[in-house]
Amino acid sequence: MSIKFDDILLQILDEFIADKKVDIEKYCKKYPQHKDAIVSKFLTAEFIKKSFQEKDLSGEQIGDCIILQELNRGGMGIVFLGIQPALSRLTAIKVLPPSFSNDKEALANFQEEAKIIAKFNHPNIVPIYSINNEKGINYISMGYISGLSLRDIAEKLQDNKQLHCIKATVIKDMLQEPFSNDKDISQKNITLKRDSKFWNKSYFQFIATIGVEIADALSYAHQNGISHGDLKPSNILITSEGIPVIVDFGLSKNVKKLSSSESKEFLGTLVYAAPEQIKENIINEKTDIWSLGATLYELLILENPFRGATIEKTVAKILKSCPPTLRHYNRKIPLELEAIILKCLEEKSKNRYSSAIELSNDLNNYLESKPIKAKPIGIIGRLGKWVKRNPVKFYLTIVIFLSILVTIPLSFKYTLNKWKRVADVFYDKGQYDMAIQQYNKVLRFSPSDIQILRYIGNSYYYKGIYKKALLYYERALTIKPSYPTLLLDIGDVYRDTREFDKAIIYYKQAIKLSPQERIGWYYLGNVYQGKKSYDEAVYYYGRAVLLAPEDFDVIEAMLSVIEEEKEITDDEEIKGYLRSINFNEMESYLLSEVLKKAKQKNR
Amino acid sequence: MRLDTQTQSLIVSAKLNNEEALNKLFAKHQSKILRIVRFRLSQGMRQKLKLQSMDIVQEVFMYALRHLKDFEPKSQGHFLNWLGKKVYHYICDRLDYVSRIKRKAPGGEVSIDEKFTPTDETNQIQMQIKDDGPNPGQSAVIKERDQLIDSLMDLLEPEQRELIINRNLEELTFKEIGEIHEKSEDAARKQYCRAFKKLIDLSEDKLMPIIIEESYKHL
Repeated sequence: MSIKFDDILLQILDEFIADKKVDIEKYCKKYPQHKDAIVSKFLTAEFIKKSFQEKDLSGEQIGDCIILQELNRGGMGIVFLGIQPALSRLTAIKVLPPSFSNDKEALANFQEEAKIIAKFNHPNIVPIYSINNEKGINYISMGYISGLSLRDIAEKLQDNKQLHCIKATVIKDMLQEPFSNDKDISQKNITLKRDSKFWNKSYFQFIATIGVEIADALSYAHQNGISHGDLKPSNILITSEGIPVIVDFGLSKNVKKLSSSESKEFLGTLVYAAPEQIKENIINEKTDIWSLGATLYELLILENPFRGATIEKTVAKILKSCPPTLRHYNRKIPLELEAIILKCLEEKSKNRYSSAIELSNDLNNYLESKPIKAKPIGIIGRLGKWVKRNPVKFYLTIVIFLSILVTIPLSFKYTLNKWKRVADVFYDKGQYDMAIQQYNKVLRFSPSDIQILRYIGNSYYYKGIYKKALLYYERALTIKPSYPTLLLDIGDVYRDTREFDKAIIYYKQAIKLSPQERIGWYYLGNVYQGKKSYDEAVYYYGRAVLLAPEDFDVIEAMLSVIEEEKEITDDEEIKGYLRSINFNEMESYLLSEVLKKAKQKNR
Repeated sequence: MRLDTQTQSLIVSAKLNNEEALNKLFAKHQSKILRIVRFRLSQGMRQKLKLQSMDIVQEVFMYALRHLKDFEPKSQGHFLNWLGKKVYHYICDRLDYVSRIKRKAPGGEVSIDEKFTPTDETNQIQMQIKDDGPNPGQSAVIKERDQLIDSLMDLLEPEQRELIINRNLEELTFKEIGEIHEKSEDAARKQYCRAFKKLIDLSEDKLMPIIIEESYKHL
């Protein structure tokens, strides 16, 4: 069946626009009758595509290098893979994009980068071969690292949710995969080799080992007065032997120069930048330590802790500087590793590691199971960090908690008061059964309320159920033994049950606690009168009268005992009698006068 | 395509009122944005505006970048698309303004290159346009090729032209293009594919001599 040429072209274009490598020869062989048209259309498509892009340098010769292909585009330049035929050496050629070629500032940054890296000689820092300007093109020729960046590795691991289960061999397999861009290129540049045991490490140990080597490289740069300023996963390449190599010192500055820099422009990649880097444009070894911490953090959970939905939110997250703990994402992450990384991400630079070598040593300590310098974060620390990260949630929780704390007792108190008021109404109306029922409801929630116990006791007392009354009174008395009213209540029960001796004990206790209260004296008089101990009865009545000379009931009771039981009617005799039962002269006089008036009133 | 590191850093600084960052954003994107705008303008309008030598570029960018605070770029394409549209609208307004001056002028004619009276706002920030173009020889070749592509783009339907701009200049993904045009990702990809095919069909004859010449140079 013949296929229309337009359909063939659309099929080719479908691959072409997806940036796939189109095997044009395959199409020519498949559709020989359209061979010329296929080639012509494909060349036109490539030309149009290129015309929309910056100038393509593939195949061009620059200095002693031939550009093979574009590898990467960064903020400050395009990186090409080149070859130095004379030395049979592959090189990475970093070229300023054409739109920057006359930008003096960009050019200066570019040259500065080259000079800085050229000073270095470290296995974990990409070597620089030359800095040149040719045909108006500025470029740096540097060592070509055939491998994956840590960002590539993190992306490849994205679907793996169980990092704690994987071994470093998984990374090794990734690094051995033929790279689509350079599958036919030998890897001559790789000289360092790993011990075979290295690949048996767990993923976490692998990351820690990489961290040690990067920290060592940073330390080397710092000792030479240079900070990187833009350390991130895409700037760390891993060779096929698993060796990390730092690239792109594009933003690094000489530390001494930086301290006098007046530029206010933020430099670096936002999600890996330290708070002071954003706020004050500071780049130093402490900001590099932060960036390495952020990089290692990201590699352990495959997510950047600071990336927000907007730039503003990202900046706010960094300035707050309180990433969630790593174990919040994965409980299997070792406590020590978490502590080390969180120490790198301390808001105040003084709280971070003082140097990259210190960080490297601590990571080594973790790997060798030795004590680490960073303190593992405890529950309070985690809570503190959570509060710092979620202040709104925290304050809202506190407010809700306090509201509950205040509202529940208030509403509870309100309900209890309501039941109490209802019970009081029944009590006042003499509906004691209802009162008891209602008071008991209150008592269930407030078992030590003395008043409620007393009212229930009173209700039983008024109903004549003395045993029950006593139960409640005594229960109240265990709660408050020095409560005169309660003692009087108990005394009343014993008085009514004619257990006078017991009644006397309770009344006397009440009088002792509250001698100014005439009712105790009066009831005691009552009891003694019941016991026919008339002298005592007169004495206690007399005490009550002295406290309340206007209380006619008490006076009447006293007078009746004197006149009817003691048969003394003469005023002078009464006075003498009173003196004889322990009233002093003044008391006897006062009492006899009161009794005299009462007698006159009665007549 | 993710926002490149430098653009992202510059946007952060620009949002924090850093004037220098605005200048750099301008320098970094001016050539691409002007090309996008040129494609969007009709041939007549393009000639009228004489964009290649226009003296209002600075103002145009200032107008666009002043709105940066309210904008949150999601990707490189998203940023270029936003900036391109801001610049396009400004230029359209400017053309409308110039046309009205022409109509009102007693002599009836005012040059398009006459100095545009800036507003107080645009006066506040003075930008320095960096001369970042290629050398004269390169310039002539690029200019000739650009003009050829311009003329070929004019032959496309406006919708198809927009798809080519979205994909090839603004570097939007098909998903993003679909969102802008309210289509599915697959539909956006297929429509783009057809637009690109049409551009190939229209330009094959004109471009082939250049392609052959360049192939000889590489031999």
